[in-house]
Amino acid sequence: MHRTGELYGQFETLEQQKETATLGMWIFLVTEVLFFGGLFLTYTINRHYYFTAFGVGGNMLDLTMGTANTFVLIASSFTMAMSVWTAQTSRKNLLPIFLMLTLILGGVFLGIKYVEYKQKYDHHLIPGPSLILLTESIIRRGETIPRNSRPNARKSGKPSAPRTRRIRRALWSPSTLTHNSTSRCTSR
Amino acid sequence: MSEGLVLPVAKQPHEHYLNATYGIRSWLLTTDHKRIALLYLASVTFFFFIGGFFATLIRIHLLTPAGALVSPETYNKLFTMHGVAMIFFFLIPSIPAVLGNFLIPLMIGAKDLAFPKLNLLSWYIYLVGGAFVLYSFSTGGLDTGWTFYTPLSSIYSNSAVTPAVLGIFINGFSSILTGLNFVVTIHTMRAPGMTWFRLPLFVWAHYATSLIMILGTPVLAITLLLVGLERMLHLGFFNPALGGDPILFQHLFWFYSHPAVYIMVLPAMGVVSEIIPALARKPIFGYSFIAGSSIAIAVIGFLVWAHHMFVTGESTYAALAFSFLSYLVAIPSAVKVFNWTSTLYKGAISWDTPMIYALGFIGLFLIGGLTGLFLACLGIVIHVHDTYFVVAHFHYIMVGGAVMGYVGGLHFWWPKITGKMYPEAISRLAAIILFVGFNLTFFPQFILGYLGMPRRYHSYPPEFQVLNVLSTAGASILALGYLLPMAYLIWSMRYGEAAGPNPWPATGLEWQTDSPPPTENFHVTPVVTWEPYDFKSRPDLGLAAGAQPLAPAHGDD
Repeated sequence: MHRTGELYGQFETLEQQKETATLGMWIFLVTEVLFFGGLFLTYTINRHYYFTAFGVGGNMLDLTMGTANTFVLIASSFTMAMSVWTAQTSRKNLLPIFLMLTLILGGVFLGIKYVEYKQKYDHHLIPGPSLILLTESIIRRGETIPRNSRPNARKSGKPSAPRTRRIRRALWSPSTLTHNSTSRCTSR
Repeated sequence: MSEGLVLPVAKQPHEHYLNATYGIRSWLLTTDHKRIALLYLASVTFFFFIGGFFATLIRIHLLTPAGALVSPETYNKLFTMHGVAMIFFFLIPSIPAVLGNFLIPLMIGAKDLAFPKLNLLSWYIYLVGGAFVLYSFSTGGLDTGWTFYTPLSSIYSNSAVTPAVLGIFINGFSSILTGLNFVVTIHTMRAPGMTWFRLPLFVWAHYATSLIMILGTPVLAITLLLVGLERMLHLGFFNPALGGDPILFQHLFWFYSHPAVYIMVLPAMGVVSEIIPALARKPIFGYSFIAGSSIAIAVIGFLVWAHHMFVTGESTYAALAFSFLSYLVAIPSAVKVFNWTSTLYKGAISWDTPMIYALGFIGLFLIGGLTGLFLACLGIVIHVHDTYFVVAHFHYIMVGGAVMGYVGGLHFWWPKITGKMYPEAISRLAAIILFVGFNLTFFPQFILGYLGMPRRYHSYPPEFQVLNVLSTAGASILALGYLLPMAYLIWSMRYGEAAGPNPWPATGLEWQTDSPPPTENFHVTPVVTWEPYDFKSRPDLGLAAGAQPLAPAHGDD
């Protein structure tokens, strides 16, 4: 469905064709909202149940990398949309520039992801049985962390660095992992 | 064909959508909505017989109290696979993707759906989803129940759950794209003069159905994907051992799967709303109320899901609200039943096969709907929850309602689809066999459930045997009722009489064109100047003065 161009067989007028394409896209977006709505609901409910654990987990993320990545992602969407626009309006000299920009931004995105995922991999944060151990230990730790050291405690806003490090050390320590793996086996 | 009505000898048109092009490629790469409808017809029939095969084994197994045929584990797989095949791969696509696909562009006077390629894509997505599910059936089967309750489905089940949930996830997008295509088509592709309140009620019913497909199916898709992730990667969404919430799964699942019942029955109501005025030869009573009630059912249907969870310990206030809203659905449903009955009143009823199916639909839907009110009642549901009462109730809606509507609709539009008439006498007999067999199968299950026989058990106490044998006997009659139409409809494609453009005659735009229609549907774009179901001001229908008495619109007025 092009904004300009030929009339497809099932339509009577170009205007009708354009209106149809627009409505179809909006309805598709509605289905996407509901699709991710289920995911967001699951996230929200779990965040509510395990407020502390989510806070602890959130503190382990790299804020700079995440922000940069979001920026790169949105920028690449923009350059891609621009290349579609240049194609539609026959600006042949601009088209390859925008496509190249999209390609480069895509490469940058993958580069950042490599660094981020490498960190997760080193911490054994990979889906699978090892993640269960971590999830369980985070839940268990979350319940025993004193109130004032909670990451989202209202007064401080951010936990002090030594405390975070202590929590982190407890989470990653081999003794925690082995302890939990035995308790998991017996609990089944 | 009604007696006393003299029609000229009908001829097949020389060129139509079936013989416009030949070869397997012309079918597999077609974007013609009529051909895609036939592709769907073949594939949903295939899944219907797979589901029917499992149903047969279930009924044979339940002939004796200890179970006659299979082990308990296999029994669990049988009813699960029966449910999955029938619900996701037969009932949900049946009327929309076959009859809706074929008829909506014809009824609104369009050349095709708004997105013909997307339409073909949804058939291929359906096939891919179906392949995943068949893979699951043939490599270990599926034993979770069609509801996939967690943590059974995500942790404990030893059957092939992962390919099954992925298959249904994929198939969901077929449903979403079909719904999207219908909504856009109905909005933008109507012929000149085809205003919203001149749309056939079949189209209104499909509009409501498509809204549910668009708004509900994505939620089911993501939910089953999460179950798959939980099973494959051990993430803790719904597994309480990992801090997940199994009740959350039930909320998300029923948010789609209750409205899914209306995906099945609303199109069947649309079919009945077409058959009754055509074969009672009378304008439909209360057009705007029937149209509005379809939308009302779709809207209220989204607000009743937790009535499946009354015994999960949900809060009393939530239960009260969901109980009340479930009662509320009865109002638009009853509006339809009363309006169909009023249309029949003093109509010139001809006992053609589609009419027998439509009347069967009204009766069975009435029973299914009223027993639904028992289940919406917070007191009674504690007694009948998870018993055969529930099984009987939803089979009255899904089989007695949706399948009767589907088979009735196939007969009604068969002359349009193939250009041939089906044999009249045997088809009436088959409709009656279907009705009798259905009631004999499922009415005893109401009694069984009321007496306390739980659903999904592979064995039962000996005092329930008589009713179970009756039910199995009914199922064999029911099977005959499905095999007969299958046989004579295929027979009629070659040997049936030529039908002519409008054999009933009916008022819809689809009857204005050839049977079978040309690829582009209409030789000239039709212009609509009449109101829906208006027999009086339609001399073109061949209902010449004196040929058939025309009843007034509202009985006595």
